[in-house]
Amino acid sequence: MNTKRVTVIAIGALMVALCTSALCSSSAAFRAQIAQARAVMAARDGRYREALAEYDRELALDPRLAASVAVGKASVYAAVGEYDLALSQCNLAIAVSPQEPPAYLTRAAVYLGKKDYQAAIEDCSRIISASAAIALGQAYFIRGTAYANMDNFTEAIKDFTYAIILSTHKAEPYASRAMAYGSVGNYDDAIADFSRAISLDRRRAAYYYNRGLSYEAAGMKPEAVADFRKFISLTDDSEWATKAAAKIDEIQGGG
Amino acid sequence: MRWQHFPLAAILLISLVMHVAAAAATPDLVFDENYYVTEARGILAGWGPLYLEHPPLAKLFLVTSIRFFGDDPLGWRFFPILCGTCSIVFVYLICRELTLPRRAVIIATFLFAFENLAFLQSGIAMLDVFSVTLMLGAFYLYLRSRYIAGGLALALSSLAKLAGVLGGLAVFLDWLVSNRKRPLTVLLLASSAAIFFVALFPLLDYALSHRIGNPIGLLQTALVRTASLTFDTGFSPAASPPASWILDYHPFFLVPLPQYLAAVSPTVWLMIVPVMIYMVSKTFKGSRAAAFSLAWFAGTYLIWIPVEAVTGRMTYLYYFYPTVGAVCIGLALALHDLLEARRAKAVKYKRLLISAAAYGYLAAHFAFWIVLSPVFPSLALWLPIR
Repeated sequence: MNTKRVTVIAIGALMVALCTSALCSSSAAFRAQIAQARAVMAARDGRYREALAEYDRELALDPRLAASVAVGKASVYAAVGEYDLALSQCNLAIAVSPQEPPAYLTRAAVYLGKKDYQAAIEDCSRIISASAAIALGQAYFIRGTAYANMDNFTEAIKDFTYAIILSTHKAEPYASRAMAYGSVGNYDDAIADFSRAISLDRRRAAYYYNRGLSYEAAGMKPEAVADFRKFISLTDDSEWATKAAAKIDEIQGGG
Repeated sequence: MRWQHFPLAAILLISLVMHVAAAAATPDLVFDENYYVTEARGILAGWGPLYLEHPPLAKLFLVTSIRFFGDDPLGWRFFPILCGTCSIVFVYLICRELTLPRRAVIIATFLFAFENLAFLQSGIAMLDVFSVTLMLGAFYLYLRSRYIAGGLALALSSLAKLAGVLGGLAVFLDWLVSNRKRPLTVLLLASSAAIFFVALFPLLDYALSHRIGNPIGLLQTALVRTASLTFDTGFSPAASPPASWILDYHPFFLVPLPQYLAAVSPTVWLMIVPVMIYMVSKTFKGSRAAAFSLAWFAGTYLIWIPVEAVTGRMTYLYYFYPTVGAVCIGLALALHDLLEARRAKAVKYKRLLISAAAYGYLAAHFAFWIVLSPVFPSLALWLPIR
């Protein structure tokens, strides 16, 4: 065997050894990411216990991810109404990584769940004053929701408008602003916003019901009936379907 | 269209179809799109730019993309996809200017177009694709001896993202290796790049902020802000030191579903070190293309290693995107040489073996591109992790 061939084989063997060791050393971090992805998917599908287990696995694989794991677990706890556990996870995330907006954002959402609207507003205002664009749209949205719950519809409409500017592709800010417009009797703008929300998410039954209410309040009865019918065709909730049917009867009975 | 350009047209078509399919399958913002698309919306609402660490050109592209093509997934990504497609054409043109054999030109273009990191970056609304495409344009113009136009392209690349200046370093290194007898060429390019950069910075910034700024002040703000992001100031799971990009396979999910996986295609990543060693050897033998590939690699990648060591600046795997073209050209040269060596083999099975290895490698590259792409079922769903 000549020297050239030996050199090529040696370089090849060295490369294989290097690549194998590199792949092995990086696999824990990559597996942690996969665990996180599975946790997010499980939480989204309502498999909360599985989501928490995946987050624990993520943390075991890569302890550097403590803050993001805590935020993820807080979201899961909030989704099942365990607000105190959610809050402690948010506080843990903030203690580990005080500059990261997602922890404040999740905590604000948890405060909303606990009906502590002032605390939610404070956390959102912190993100907004830091101009953290990654969370800015969501921060305006949560703060707007807090204001709306405190019946401060002027501030709520202002915040929902900012949320719409920053998250144009999302239906929720339009629907929330529509609700706020409806609350102050501005039914034309409420109908326009619900229509925009429906164009972005045609499967959300609640938008049709609420637009139906706005149509009814604005005196546009055929449109209201059409929306209540659409709601009935989309919803799985029999109680609300009965309410919508009663609305239709009421409108049609009233001429 | 001439028949000789047919492979390029086919590659562009496949890449474009995949881009459109991926964008359509991804209704939400991906990774740093959350920063840049949100910022673009704020700019459209008259709020001005939020992130002063980045110069204005790429942001202007994104704002224009949303303004004219809509605030939806295809609207955000229209210009990035367009630029990404242009970058494939530039790689093709660069290879031709380097007088690579026709087969090597097509192989390099194929490898670049179907490389995961390059494809990923050119399909999302971040800043890098604009900077890299303009940098490739600068390389092409430099190789065609159009130094003033090359300087303009280099300035625009740096005005899209400051890292575009590394393209200038690559050109300088290439000049050192290949062209030292003509110092005016590199001087002309460097001075025109500097003049265009200083002149255009405030103009482009004005288009976004409606304020007239001092270019030195704007650059200073950008540099101070960008330097403040260090490995010491915080932990980011997406960050990794530059040396690890080629020594440690460290894929990162920008989004798990649909999967946007930041990773150099394994077929390219495995070959980075051996191919660059081969380029050193070919450079010593007088290969112009190998020298350029090497200078490109050193200027846009190797420089990050001392920069990170000295400044502690947080770095991310996708900073390797500007270098992918250099590796692809090196790989194309190596594969071409391998296929040429086949002719010298007297025994038929050896010739067949070499052909199978080379074309099998290209097939594997294409297969990895499909498997890692956003239209393929996410690895997060089916990869065992226990």
